[in-house]
Amino acid sequence: MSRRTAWFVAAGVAVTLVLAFGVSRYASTEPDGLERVAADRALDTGEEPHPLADSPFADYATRGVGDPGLATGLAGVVGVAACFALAGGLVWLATATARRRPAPDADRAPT
Amino acid sequence: MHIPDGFVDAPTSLAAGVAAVGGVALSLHKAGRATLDARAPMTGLVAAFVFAAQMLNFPVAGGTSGHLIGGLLAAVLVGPWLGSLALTVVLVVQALLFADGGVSALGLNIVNMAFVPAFVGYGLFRAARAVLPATRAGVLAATAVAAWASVLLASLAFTVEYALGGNGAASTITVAGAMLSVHAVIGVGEAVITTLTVGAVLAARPDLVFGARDLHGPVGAVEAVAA
Repeated sequence: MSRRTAWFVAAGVAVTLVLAFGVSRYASTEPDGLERVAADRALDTGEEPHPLADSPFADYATRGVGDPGLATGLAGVVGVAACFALAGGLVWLATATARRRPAPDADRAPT
Repeated sequence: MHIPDGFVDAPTSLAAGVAAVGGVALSLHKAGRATLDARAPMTGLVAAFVFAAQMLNFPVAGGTSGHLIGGLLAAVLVGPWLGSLALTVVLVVQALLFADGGVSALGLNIVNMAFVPAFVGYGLFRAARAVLPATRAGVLAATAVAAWASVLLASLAFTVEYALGGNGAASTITVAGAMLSVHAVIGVGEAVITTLTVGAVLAARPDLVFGARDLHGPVGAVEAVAA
């Protein structure tokens, strides 16, 4: 990765953190499209409680943080970090694995 | 559009889970051979951005909100294979860390919000690009159309799953009509956010937009020459 690309990724992460931490508290709390249809048409008769509903960040509310905007913002930062690390790590692993075992047609692949 | 546990019966959820595992395995296989500069950090960034954007529910008519799905956005930025992986990670994190979207419904949600937009939606993007001029404006127009359609396709995928194993009493036709009408509106939000985001990346680093790589030579070529 070039220095230019590193700066692009850093700037992108900064924008993402602003959205997750600062803007998330202004999001609409109305039901989304599926939740609306489910409520209106009684699709939710079989709905079960989420097995992880008691986890510390359930429903994007950090447990133990009194201010709702801050509780949501902190959950957002945790989610951004988790998504970046997991998705980036997964692709890094897939790439490293593929390089160890080159494809039969590797010599014809564009470089 | 996250399906909670208990909306769809176990056999249908399990079948979607098997499809999700297969799709992720294939995506991982392809991801290792993707020709995209900085594919790991770029995929991480796309996943993080989609997660943050999905938190930002915007109001639509009648006490209802919508949020970005982001599958088409991810596919245009890093390609369908890496894009489907990014969305899968987002959905797994949401289900396991934030209790958003059921755990038994994870396969259903991966099919609807990762695979349908990143593969079928991206196919529509390619089709739209084929009939539009090979310019940045053409890329953005194709992005807008495919982003809107990807939301309708995702809501249609839910309707199919409901028809196969839904636990509600409403008829499939009723659910299809209700899902498509509300998501036709929410899809406009998807199109606006997706087009603005792709436009911003095109303005800053056009060589990092997978879906526009024909306009700038192979993705990463600029850096390969510079290196």
